[in-house]
Amino acid sequence: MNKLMTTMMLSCDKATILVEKKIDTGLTLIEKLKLTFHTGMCSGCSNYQKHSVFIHNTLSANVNRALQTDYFVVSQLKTSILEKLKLEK
Amino acid sequence: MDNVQITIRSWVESFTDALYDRALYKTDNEEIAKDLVQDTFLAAFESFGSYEGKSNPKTWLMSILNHKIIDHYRMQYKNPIQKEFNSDPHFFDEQGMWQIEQRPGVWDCDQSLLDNRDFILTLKKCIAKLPTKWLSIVQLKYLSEKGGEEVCQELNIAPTNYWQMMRRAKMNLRECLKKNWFKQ
Repeated sequence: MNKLMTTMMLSCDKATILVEKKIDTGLTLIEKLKLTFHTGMCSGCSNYQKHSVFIHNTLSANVNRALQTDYFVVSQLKTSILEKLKLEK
Repeated sequence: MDNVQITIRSWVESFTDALYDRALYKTDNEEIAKDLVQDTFLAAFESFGSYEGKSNPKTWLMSILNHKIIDHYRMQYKNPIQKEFNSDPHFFDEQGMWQIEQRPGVWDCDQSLLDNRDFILTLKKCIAKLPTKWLSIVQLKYLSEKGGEEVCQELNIAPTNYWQMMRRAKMNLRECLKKNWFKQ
């Protein structure tokens, strides 16, 4: 039993990296068990996981969709590119 | 003007806005986006011979732009600009457990925040403050919608290293949001 406990133990340092792995590629069964076991006992890591997933979701939800093209900027840009290419009229 | 010049000219007229949109979307910086679009047309002009009209010109220009964007991230990653803030606090003690003052607390972060403009703005400001190395990773991952595996390939880092850096970036973002939004 003691041996099992030791193998299941994760430090918070390791646990938070597993959280990132989980978000990125998913975990192996063992890792999943270890992380669940750890976050069940550790409020810090359990909160970290919530925050990390939350930041991930917010960033994935196309933060930049609000950006709209500024047509004045584009028209200036066209002029400057044509000048650079020496293609101005 | 010869034919090549006439063609490129018409491309600048037709596609600058779409290219700029894409570049701005992926870099979130007007000046960098403008430079990238300009570089794209310069490259297109120089390598016009290799175009041969095989694909749609817009597709061709977009693919040049995409390469420029990746190069930009790569450069930014390799030559990080030092920013003033960010004495990176020690989050963990020697046993790898949370330092008491760093231990994450409870945030009231429900889904409605995703549509809250002020919150998004705060988050964007926090991202802008990230040290360049981590900024590259976050931008590459989220603005370019790359998978982690691709980010590793583009920046030539191991997955373990990537998760570690992502954690560092998230820790920084957490700190910044904690101060500026959740007021803890």
